[in-house]
Amino acid sequence: MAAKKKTDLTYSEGSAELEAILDEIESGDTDIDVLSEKVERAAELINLCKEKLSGTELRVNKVVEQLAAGDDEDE
Amino acid sequence: MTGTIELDSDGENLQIRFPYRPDLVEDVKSIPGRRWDKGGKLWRVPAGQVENAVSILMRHGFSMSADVSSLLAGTQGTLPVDEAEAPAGTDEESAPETLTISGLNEKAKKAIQGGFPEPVWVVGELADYDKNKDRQHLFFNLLEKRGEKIVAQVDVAMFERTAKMVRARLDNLPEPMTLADGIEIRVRVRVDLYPRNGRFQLIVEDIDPSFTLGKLALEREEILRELREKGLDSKNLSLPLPIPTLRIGVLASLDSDAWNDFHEEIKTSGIGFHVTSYNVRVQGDLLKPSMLQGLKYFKKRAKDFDVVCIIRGGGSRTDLAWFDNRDVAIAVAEHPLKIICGIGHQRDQSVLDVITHSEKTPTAAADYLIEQFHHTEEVIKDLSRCFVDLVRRVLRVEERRLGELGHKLRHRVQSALIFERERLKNAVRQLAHATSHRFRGESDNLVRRGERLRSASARRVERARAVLSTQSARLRLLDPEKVLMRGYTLARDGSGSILTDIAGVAKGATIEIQFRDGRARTTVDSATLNKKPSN
Repeated sequence: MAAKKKTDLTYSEGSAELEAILDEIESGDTDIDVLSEKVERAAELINLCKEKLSGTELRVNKVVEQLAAGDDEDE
Repeated sequence: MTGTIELDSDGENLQIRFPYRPDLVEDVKSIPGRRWDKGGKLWRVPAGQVENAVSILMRHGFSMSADVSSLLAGTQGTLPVDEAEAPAGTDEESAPETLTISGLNEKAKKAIQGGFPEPVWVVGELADYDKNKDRQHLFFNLLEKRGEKIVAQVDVAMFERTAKMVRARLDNLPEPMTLADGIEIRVRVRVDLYPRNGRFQLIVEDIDPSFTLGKLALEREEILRELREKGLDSKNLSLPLPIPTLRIGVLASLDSDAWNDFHEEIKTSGIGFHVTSYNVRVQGDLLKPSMLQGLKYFKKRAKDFDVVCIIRGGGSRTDLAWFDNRDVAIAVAEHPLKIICGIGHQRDQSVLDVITHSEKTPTAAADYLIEQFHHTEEVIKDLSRCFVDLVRRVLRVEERRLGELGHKLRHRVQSALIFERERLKNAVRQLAHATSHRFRGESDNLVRRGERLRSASARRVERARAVLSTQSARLRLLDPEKVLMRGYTLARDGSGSILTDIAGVAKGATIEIQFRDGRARTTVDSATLNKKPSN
C-alpha cells in the first residue's frame, strides 16, 4: 500500500493504518529491514492524528466559545 | 204646514202664501206665469197651472183650500183643449164608441192612473241622461239589461223642481253621488201618459241613493272578493317602493286640474323626478279601455319606470265608481310596477284605493313621492352613518385584537427564545464536554498507541538482537579454526573448496588436509560411500 500524503489522509484512515502497523509489529513478524520504516510511518501517523486532533479541538473550542459568547451577548 | 194655496175670488189665479224659504221660492218660480204680489206678500199663479202648482207644493206640506181641490179635480178630469168634445164621448151612449185621439189618450191616461193609483219604486239603468243633463227638465230613459242586451226600457221625465231636489239631496250625501249614464238607480215614479203625444212615461218624484250606493258598494265588494280569492288584493300593495323612486309614470286626464296639481307639485319639489304622462279617460265607458292601454304601456316599459301614479280629481261616488272595474283592478293588481293612486275622495274608496297605495288627492300623491324621496335621503344618510360607525367599531375591535395578538406573540417568542437559548447553551456545554471527552480519549489512544509502537518496536528490535547474538554465538562455535583446535581436520579439493561429501572425492585425486597446526597433501587411494545415508 502506497502511503498517502498526510494532507490526503483522514483521521480515521490514519488511525486504521496506525492500528494495522501496530498489529503487525506486535505480532513480531515484521522484517527488521522494514521495521524502522514501519515505525517511522507509525510515528508519522501518530503525529498526523495528533495534529488533526489538536486542530479540530482548537476549532471546536473556538466555535463553542463563540456560541457561549453569542448567548451572553443576547441576554 | 208650510203654506197655503187658495183660489182668487175671480177664479183667475191661485194665491200662494208661505213664510220665506229660498227653496220654496225657487220651486214657485218654476211655475209658468207666476208673479210676486208685493202688496199682498203672496205669489199669484194662473189657475190653469193648478195641477203643476199643487204637485210642486203639496210635497212641501202645503195645504189647499176646497175650491183649489175642486179646480184640480176639474183639470185632472179634462184638458182645456178637449173640453168641448169630451162629454160627447161618455159611456152613456149605446153606439159603438169612437174615440178621438185625445179621448183615447185621456182614457189610457186614466186607465194607467187607475192601474197605478200610488207612485211606485222602479229600478233601471240611466241612459240618454248625460246629453240632457243641463236642461231645465230632464228627459231620459231607464233600461233593463240582461248582460249587455237591453230587454226593456221606458221614457222618464224629471221636472226641474224634482231635479233640483234630487241634485241637492245627492250632493249633500256623505258620499256625494251624481247621476250619469250607466248608473243604476232606484226612483219613485208616478206612472203617466202624456195625452198630447200618447207617450207612456214615468215622472220621477224621488230617488233612493242608498240603492245606487249600495249596489256600487256591492259591485266593489264583489270585485274585491274576487281579487282576494285570487290572492291579488295585496299583490301590488306589497310591492316595495324602489329606492330611489324617481322615474314616474302617470295615468291621468292631461287636461284636468288633477294632473296640473300633481305635475306642479312634482316640478316645484326641486327633486330630479322624471315624469312620463299617459292620457287616459277617468270616467265613463272609455275609462276601462284607456286605462288598460295605459297600464299596458307602462307594463311594457316596466324597467324604465319606478312607479305608476293614477291621478284623478275629486268626484262623486258615482263618478269614481268607474274605477271599480274588474279588468282594470286586475291589471292594476298584477302590474309589475308599484302603483300609487291619487284619486280625490272624501270617505269612500274605490277598489283601486284598496289594492294600491292610496293618497286622498293628486297633490297628496305627489307629496308622498316627494316625502319618500326625502325619507330615502335620510335613510341613506343614516345608513352611511351606521356604516361608518360599524366600520370604525370593527376596526377598533380588530386593532385591539391585533394588539393582543402582537403582545401574545412577543411573549411567546420571548419565552421560546429563552427556552431555545437555554437548550443551545446546554447543547454547547454538552458539545464542549463531549468533544473534550472525545479528544481526551483520542489523544490517550494516540499516546497508548505511541507506547504500543515504542514497546512493540523495541521488543521486535530486542528479539532480533537476541536472535542475532545467538547466531553470533553459534557462528562463533562453528568457526573452522575452533573445530581444528578441537582436533578435527578439514579436507579441501585441488581448487581449495572444502569437501563435505564423498561424491567430490575420486581415487587418485589430490586432497589437501588442514590440521590445527599444518597442512598435508595426499593422494586418495580409495573412496568408499557409506552404506547408510549419513545424517
